[in-house]
Amino acid sequence: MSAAGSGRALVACHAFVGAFALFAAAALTAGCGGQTGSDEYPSRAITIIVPYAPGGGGDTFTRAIAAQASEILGAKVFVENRTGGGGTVGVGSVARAPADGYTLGFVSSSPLVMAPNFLDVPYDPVQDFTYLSRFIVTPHPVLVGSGSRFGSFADLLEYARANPGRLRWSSAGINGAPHIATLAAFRQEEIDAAFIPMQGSSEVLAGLLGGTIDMGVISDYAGPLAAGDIRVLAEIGPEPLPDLPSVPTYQQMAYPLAPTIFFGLAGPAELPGEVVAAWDAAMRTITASDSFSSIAHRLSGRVAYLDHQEFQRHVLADIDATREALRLLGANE
Amino acid sequence: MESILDGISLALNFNALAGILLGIVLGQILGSIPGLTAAMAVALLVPFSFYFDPWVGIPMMLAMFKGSLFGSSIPAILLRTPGTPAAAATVIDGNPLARRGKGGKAMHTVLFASVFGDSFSDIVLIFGAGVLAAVAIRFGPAEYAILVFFALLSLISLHRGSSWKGVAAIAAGVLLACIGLDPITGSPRLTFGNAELFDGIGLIPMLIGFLAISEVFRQLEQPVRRLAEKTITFSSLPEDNRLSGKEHRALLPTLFRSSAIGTLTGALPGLGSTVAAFIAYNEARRTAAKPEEFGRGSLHGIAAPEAANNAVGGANLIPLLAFGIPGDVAAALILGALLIQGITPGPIAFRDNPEPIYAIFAAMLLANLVNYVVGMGFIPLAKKVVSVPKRLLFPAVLVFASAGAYAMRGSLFDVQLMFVFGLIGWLMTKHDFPPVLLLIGFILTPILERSVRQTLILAEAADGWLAFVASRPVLMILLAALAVLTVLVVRQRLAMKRYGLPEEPVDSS
Amino acid sequence: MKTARRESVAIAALLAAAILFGLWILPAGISHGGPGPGEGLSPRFMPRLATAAMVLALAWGLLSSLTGTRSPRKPREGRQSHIYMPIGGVAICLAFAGVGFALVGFYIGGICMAALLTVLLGERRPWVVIVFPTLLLAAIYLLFELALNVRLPRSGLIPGLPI
Repeated sequence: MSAAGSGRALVACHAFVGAFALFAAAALTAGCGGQTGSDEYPSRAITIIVPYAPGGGGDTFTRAIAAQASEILGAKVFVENRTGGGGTVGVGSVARAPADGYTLGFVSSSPLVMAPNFLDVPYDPVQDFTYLSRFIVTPHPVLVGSGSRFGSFADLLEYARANPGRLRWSSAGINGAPHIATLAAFRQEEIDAAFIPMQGSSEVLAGLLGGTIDMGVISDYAGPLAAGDIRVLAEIGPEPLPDLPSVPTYQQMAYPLAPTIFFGLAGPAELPGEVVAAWDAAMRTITASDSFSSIAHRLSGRVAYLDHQEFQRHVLADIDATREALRLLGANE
Repeated sequence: MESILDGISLALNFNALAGILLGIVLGQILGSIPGLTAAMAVALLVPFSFYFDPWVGIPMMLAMFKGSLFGSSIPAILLRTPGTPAAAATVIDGNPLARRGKGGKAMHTVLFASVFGDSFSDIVLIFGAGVLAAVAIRFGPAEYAILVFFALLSLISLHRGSSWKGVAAIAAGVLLACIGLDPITGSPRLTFGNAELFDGIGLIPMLIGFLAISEVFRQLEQPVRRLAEKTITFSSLPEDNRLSGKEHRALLPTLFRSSAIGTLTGALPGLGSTVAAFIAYNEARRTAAKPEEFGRGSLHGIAAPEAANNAVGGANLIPLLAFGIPGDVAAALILGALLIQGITPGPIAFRDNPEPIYAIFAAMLLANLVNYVVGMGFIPLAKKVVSVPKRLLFPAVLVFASAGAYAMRGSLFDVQLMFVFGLIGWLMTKHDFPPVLLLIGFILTPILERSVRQTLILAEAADGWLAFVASRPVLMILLAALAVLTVLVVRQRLAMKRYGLPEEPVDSS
Repeated sequence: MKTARRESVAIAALLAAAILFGLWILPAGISHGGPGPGEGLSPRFMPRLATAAMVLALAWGLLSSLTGTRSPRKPREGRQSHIYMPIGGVAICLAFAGVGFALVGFYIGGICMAALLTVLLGERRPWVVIVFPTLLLAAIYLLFELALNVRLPRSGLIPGLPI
């Protein structure tokens, strides 16, 4: 480079560095903050840990909640993603956090109700959490391809009884609630079907459409359902599907496990009363809001608010019911 | 026709253009930082896209992916440290060229190849999505098992050097891939109680550690005075800093072939751009007029993986738009953003509400153009950054990579893993064990193992193997095609031995 | 000749490690042994296959090293005395990744790490050693925290500041 060229480059470098320094200073001052200066909760920023990757359903809901909660509670609410182990890593961090209400977490059924029965998880779902509030319940229907020979759930059962080991089915993960609930249902019906473990609802959907499997139990099915490529035969949860009330549920068919797949907010055990009260009030308002409902609708979830007492009761009951069902299934080690 | 124009106009206005521009710039910057991926950044945008105008947010996301695939090759070429896994194959020929002072030429090749690959697959997406999707959906575990097995076999030929070291490297990669929860039974394998290993070793910490960090450690072996020098120097000859028209034309056959490979790989969910890049590189080398140039700075060796990895981007959207099924993380994010806006992709969307689909097409093509233009500006900037002395640049790379590895999962464990793999990778390279083969084993094993075991379960459920194979037309075609290929290859090898053709040269990279 | 012997010993050590791994560590780490019905292959199958391949490869390598056929090698650049820098670099990186960041947060830790590395690599001007890492971490803060919304570990020393 010529002397003049390198001289200019030097000036440009200096200017760049200077700008950076200014930016850094501005950012640091902007970053300081989140102190509300009052003594009551919350007096500083709150962090909600999401045990899943950003961009997923749970993460999207949590960020929407965080935005609204910031306004209601008057303190900044941050969202931090800590993925791993199907949610168990992030949930573990929530369990270990200090019980002051400034670290909370997004929780869903699998890491709490299912995973502890199969894996060595770093927490005890019965003792280690304060379940603050539930906000969403997601449907998890039993699906078949639209070209399938099964017109109803009864058809499916009949075929499976007549052809042991031939019905091929899958769910989005292994040992999750849909998997175990369906296993329990099949066991009760004395059916022997072939479970093909798959990873993620996309693989299951592709399997349904491509003829690899006959039946799938997943929750992300909006696209192919609208396209008419799949049909709903049953729902695993206790409540019927709002737009398909005639579809039978596992509860109606009296199967051992009719799990509710929920999304909720939780914190470490023994959170102070004022924290619980603050979030009860905030979540009640948030879940009743229009913007929350429209997000829920678009992501195929049903708004289902439960306050702390009810939610805690429900989760513990779910955990018990699942343990019992697993014991009967003989899958518990 | 009207709806096509309506759709296109949604994407061809100033706001969308601004979104695309921002997306490309962000994507190129993020892609060039080892450890950061555009997928991460886009994931963080998805919730906010609810509040944006959709036709600013969605083009921006699409542009981010494209930009990052170009950005990630810049450090691959200049520093031998790929910014994302997809650029791992670009290192092989890109860096030697840069060492000879022709880094400018290498970067322009990458830009041209990237935009070519993107445009190729976008056009296939627009006109051929339905057909490709219908075929791809019939690929089940058995078909994947065969494809991946043969990909593994063919990629083994990437290694020229002592074979026992190659086998050991692949075996190590396979073993590392087995750490985590078993894909079929869900029981822990080699996790030793560590919950952070349940998902296995992350590709980013592993790859950035093996290729980028280990390279930095290796560079530290130089004498101190050399570390005070600029990291890379560029020749001042103009032809070393750009591609001539003749060179552009000479690359076209390679580009077409590699883009096709990338498009096909992208249409099959689960394979990914890294695999596509390596396969395209291998194919380019196999069919090259001058194979001895590969590994020393062949332009074809740079263009092939780049075209392929970018082509995967457009093809990823094929199952999404045709069926509403996202093939990978990128498509899943876009699906999320579309759903939040109330748009449900799939054949119904084509029929009842096609404007958003056409807008997406228009945005993608426009983004390719912007990618090219912005890339032209990024290249001189990259040259400036890299003329910083090594003793400043290397610490910067190490710290940035730490932040990137942490950001992926919010886990310091990943940062630790990254440096441990950096150490192992450095030791491996010192003793001529090929890290690339370890990576290939690591990337392909999960799909291979899962597919094989799923196939065994399916065959049991189908009343025996014969019935199973007979029920899957694609499988039968694949088996026949591969039998033919094997016969051809064996004949070629025998012919070479008979005519005493020289063995392949020792790996000099 | 001496290097060939050293190489043989190294390979033999790796071989022994691989065999030990396959026979003891692997079964200990994968408790789920045989394939149950509907599981295809056992969870131990693939790891066992890989370990077997590794053992075979290492055995072959040992053999060829002992019989004197050396594997093709690149010429060594530079002398072994330069090994203190990469080792120092590895040590610094592992120290911070393992302990440093958790203790003092990413920002303070990162500044120290960058400073130490820069000095290790030969930079002696004090103003560069201080200013460069600070600017580096400021850039990281801008990019990660402001643009990407990713919160890097804090030290918790000063509650208000993002440090």
